[in-house]
Amino acid sequence: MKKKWLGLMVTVGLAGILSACSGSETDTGTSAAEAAGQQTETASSRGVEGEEVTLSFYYWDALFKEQIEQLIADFEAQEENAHITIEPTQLPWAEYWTKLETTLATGDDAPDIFWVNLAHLIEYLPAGYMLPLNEDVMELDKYSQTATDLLKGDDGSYYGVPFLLDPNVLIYNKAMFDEAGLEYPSEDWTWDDFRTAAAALTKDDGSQYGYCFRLDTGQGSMHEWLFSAGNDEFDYVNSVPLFAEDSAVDGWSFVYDMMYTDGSTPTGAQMTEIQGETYFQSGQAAMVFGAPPKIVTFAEALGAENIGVSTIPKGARKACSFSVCSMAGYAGTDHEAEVQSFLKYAASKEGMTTLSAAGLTAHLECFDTYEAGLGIDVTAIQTTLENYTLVPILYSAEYNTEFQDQFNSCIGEVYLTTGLDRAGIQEIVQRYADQCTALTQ
Amino acid sequence: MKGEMEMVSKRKKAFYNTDNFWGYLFISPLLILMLIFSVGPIFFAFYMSLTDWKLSGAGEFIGLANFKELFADPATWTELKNSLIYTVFKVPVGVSISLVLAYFLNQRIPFRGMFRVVYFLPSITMTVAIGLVWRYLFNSQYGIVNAILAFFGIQGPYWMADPKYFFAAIILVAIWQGIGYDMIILLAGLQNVPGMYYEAARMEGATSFQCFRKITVPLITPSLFFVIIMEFMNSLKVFDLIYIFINASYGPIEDAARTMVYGIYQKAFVHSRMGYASAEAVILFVIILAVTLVQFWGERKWVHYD
Repeated sequence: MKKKWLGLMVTVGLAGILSACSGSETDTGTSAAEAAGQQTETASSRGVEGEEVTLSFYYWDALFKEQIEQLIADFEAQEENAHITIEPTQLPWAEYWTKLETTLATGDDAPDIFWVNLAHLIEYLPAGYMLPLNEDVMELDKYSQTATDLLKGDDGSYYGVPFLLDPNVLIYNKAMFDEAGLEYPSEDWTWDDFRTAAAALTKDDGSQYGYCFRLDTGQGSMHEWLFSAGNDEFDYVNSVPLFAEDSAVDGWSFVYDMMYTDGSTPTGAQMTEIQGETYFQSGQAAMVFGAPPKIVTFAEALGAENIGVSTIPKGARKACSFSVCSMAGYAGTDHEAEVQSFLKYAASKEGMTTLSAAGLTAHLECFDTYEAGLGIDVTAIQTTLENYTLVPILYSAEYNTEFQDQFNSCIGEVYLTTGLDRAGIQEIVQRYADQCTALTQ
Repeated sequence: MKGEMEMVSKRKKAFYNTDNFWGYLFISPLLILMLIFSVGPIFFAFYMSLTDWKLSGAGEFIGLANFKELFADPATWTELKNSLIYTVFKVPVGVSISLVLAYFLNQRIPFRGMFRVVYFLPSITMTVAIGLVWRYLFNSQYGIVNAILAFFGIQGPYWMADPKYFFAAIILVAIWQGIGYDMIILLAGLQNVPGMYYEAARMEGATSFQCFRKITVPLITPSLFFVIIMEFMNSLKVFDLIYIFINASYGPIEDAARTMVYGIYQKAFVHSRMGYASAEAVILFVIILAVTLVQFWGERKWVHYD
């Protein structure tokens, strides 16, 4: 009998450990309601002027550490902000969203100020986590409208300061072009020009590839090929997958042929073991697509003198993906006035100039600072902003992560399967598109 | 009447003075914490599995809809299948190797202490570190595994990129990591076996294998039972090694290794569908409960405590 009890205790104990995650759900469920209550508090009850105030600030990109600290120091140094202390916390990308989402949902230890990207903005905005900005926080005419439009709520208020604007570009290794005696990529390159150069830059012994594709759904991967093929991937508003249309199959097939016919980009299997862009960063590939922050990373690894930047090659249209990262306030903050005040400073030309040293901001007057800080000619970014169709990466208003999962799996299956022809690729992408559709029914 | 009062007071007094009372009192801090953080959440998880709570806002009661959706989702069956494959391979192979190792390390062999430490080391190493390092060791181009295979003229596969080998590689690493802990438990069991049984058996002409089968194994069945039951539970709820190995791979690679707890994690923290994730946790709970109860039922037939 005692043994039976022991058995039951062991079992229950184990199940307790297993259910620990689920358990916290309920705790958080209660707190979420409290958080919602907090959000309805009136502004007048928040923050008394003159009182010592500490604001927490979450961000993910370690590249910005120095600039964030500088921004905070400059803000705190202003006389009227003497009572405000801002404590920044940099969290690695993978942990960032789990932690942010949990704290925002529950209201427990939620940061007063946080970074948010487009993919999460579309979830946080309707969930009511984000603080509507006062009208004087941002001078709208100084900002890229493509960026600010995405931050506008249904009520007409803006919900974030778009500090980072990331259109994708072609980044190349100048030394490899020089060695092969090829001209650098130009802004009128087509897909065929790109493919020919990639093949010429590939070495038979496998030590160098012309291009490194990326086997994920980050910026600079499949999106660029589909968007420039004239395909929008998803009808985001109505949650309809479009990535199996004929125009899309052009993009899927083009990359597939470079991989398995030309051998000018590592195969899917190779990129499962070593991430695509690592080939570029370690000097084993000549071209890669990436967002502007990657230019800094690659310049550090390969030397700024070896890095060149051009536009994404033109397919059926000149298009590329782009992303906006914004700085936002938490709707349930106890110090709304101070949060608004900090965001206003960050959105000013002075604040954005500080941040521009680490990345391309959406403030139109800061491009030169950004370019000067980089020490690399990035006029291609300006060209992209002016002449390209910029497509935000948005999967579905309602099934965002589910669609993203399907899309990820689709990329994995297409490029890990050898011996496919166009019909074979079409069959795979159609199956995943159908699975997306099935999710909505 | 007076007599009854005396008896009641006697009984009360007797209770406060019993060892049981003090025993309960001393374990109560831990018991209360366990009730709050372990037992309570189990019941909450049962309730959550009947709601559609998505992290933000309040969840609505939706009956058994989560379970219906789970059973209709092919991913659930893949997760269940993978969890069972992992368990079916890891437990018998891991425990058998541990038993053999424990047996040899209980003999008087040179460097016995060093071997015990070496075999135990993986058990106290962080799983994250183990996963990351083994991913490199399995790298098809630069990894040592394929280099060794190449030495023998064998063309090594893409361990991390071929669904056929990916899960097998994870199970191999899990076995390697787990044998040290099991070995120590079994070694402790072995050291409690009195040497006179072996002496008597040898005088009767028993071989080493007969001693092992007829004396060693029966006498360490309590340790063996503990090891097997813990291995079953741990294998069915494996997550960390799987998560590290999958490392943001998608499609066929992810499907080849996704287990139930990986699915629970994904549903809860990637898709923010806490209710749906709880439903899968409940199913896993029931599976582990059933397996454990069957084992305790079987215990009477093969475990000898005396």
